[in-house]
Amino acid sequence: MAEIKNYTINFGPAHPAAHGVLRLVLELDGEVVVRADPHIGLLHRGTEKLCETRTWLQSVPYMDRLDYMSMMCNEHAYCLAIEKLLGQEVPIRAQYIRVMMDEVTRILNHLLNVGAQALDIGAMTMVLYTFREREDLFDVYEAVSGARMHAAYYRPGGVYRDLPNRMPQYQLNKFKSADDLKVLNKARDGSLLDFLDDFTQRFPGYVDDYETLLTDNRIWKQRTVDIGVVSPERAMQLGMTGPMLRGSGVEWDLRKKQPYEVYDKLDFDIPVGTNGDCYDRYLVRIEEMRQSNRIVRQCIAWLRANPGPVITDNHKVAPPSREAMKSNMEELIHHFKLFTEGMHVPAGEAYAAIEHPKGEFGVWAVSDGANKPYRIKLRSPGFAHLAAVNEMMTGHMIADVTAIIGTIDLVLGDTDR
Amino acid sequence: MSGIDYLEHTNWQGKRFAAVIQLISFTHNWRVRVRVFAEDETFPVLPSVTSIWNGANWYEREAFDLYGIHFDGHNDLRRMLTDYGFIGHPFRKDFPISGYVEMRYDAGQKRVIYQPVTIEPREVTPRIVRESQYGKANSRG
Repeated sequence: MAEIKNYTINFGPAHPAAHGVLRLVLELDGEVVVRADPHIGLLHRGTEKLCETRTWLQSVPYMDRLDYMSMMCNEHAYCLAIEKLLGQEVPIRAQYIRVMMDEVTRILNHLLNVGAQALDIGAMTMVLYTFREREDLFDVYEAVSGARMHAAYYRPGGVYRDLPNRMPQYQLNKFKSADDLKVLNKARDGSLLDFLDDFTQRFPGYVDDYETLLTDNRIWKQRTVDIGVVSPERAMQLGMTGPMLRGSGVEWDLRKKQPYEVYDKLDFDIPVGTNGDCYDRYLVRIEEMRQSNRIVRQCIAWLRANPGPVITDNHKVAPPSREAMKSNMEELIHHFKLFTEGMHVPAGEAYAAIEHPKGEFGVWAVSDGANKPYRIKLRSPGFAHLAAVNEMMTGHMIADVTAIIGTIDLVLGDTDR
Repeated sequence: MSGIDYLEHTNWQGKRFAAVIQLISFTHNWRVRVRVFAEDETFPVLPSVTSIWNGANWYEREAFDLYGIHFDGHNDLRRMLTDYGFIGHPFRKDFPISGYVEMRYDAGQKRVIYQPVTIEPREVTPRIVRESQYGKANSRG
């Protein structure tokens, strides 16, 4: 009988289940993976180096393009790092808006992850449902910032502007009849908060729907239970964070352990798994969506009752209002200096981390007192998770590779930076 | 005890290359930042920490790729983010932002070729460090 040797195959870089441009070199013994070697960097844009050539404010939109599935959370960590260096306080209303938008982002991210992972494994329906809900949340993004994805809404010192008082409505055209419009515009008569409130009331029902489709689904369980098991010790050793760590049973969430903004005033729970397999991580994400929904509801209630400024009045950091700028010499100079030269951040260094939907997203900013960063280091959660892929995949069948890539919630923009 | 950790680099005053590691303790909820400078500036070498914190593996590879710092004891120090066959260490401060080579499809040779960059270097906003009293009423001139 002929001797059978291990053979090597390329998974990606243009594989639909690779979630972007991931090239995975798999060494196989029959159908069993012996070694998985991810080759990344195909989406490397040198964001950290680009930041060094831009003023502090100009780099905010770059942050959206890191993890392009949870845009505002990236901006949040970057703004927090600058604020830490400046010692800048953020108005309380801006903090609530940030927390609310962070949680909206978390729901967006988990919806994509659950939908896409199910799609990879073969459950086509899920992604259709989750993208329906994502559409509503993208409308929220668009209403606050004008952009559906790359928002650039957070600014050092607050957020760009207050929440809008009216939602954009669908218009009559040859594809949409008046009856369709009535349904589509039902929740859009009031302000953004009314729209979001309506969504949060509907959303738990949607999550129940997802669970009926997946949680007890025999095929789903066969594909995910006991796949990609990570023990809590290994998870910590490998630098895992977020749902990856919590799925292994380690109760660690920066929102609780090192609260930033107003998370310490809000009521929510941290779900943890027990086995550390793909199924547990899926359950953790489902539960996190429910908890995020709770947080959004609390924020809506607070934001309705408490109007106020949403960006700091320190004009060395944030621009003055248009009105003030047009009538006041001092404000005009501030505006001009801020947008030509940019803000000056005192020399020093700061590390700010937030609980990003995928894990700990940290920004380490080094300033030498100039109008540009000296060095920005972005600690993206996906990088550490992908580094652990070899360990997770070894010994599994080749069909489980997609399940494991799905569960680590890979976004190459964030891994490659 | 320790969990998250990552390596990090900056060109610092004094010794040129340093590795910075941010450590977090899950039991004590502390963060520690450790910085180590490399003695030799032409061939910086630092000891690897992958045997202590396994998660540092890829971060050391990244630092090697982008800054050219060698980690003694790392058993798989390959390039990480840059192209296959890339020359140089792009995050060093003396590496231009546009790089040295660009890639295009050559219709004559019917293949992708590398050529020197054609981008003009430009700086939109100059880098400025202001003196500490700048902008204060009593510090004119």
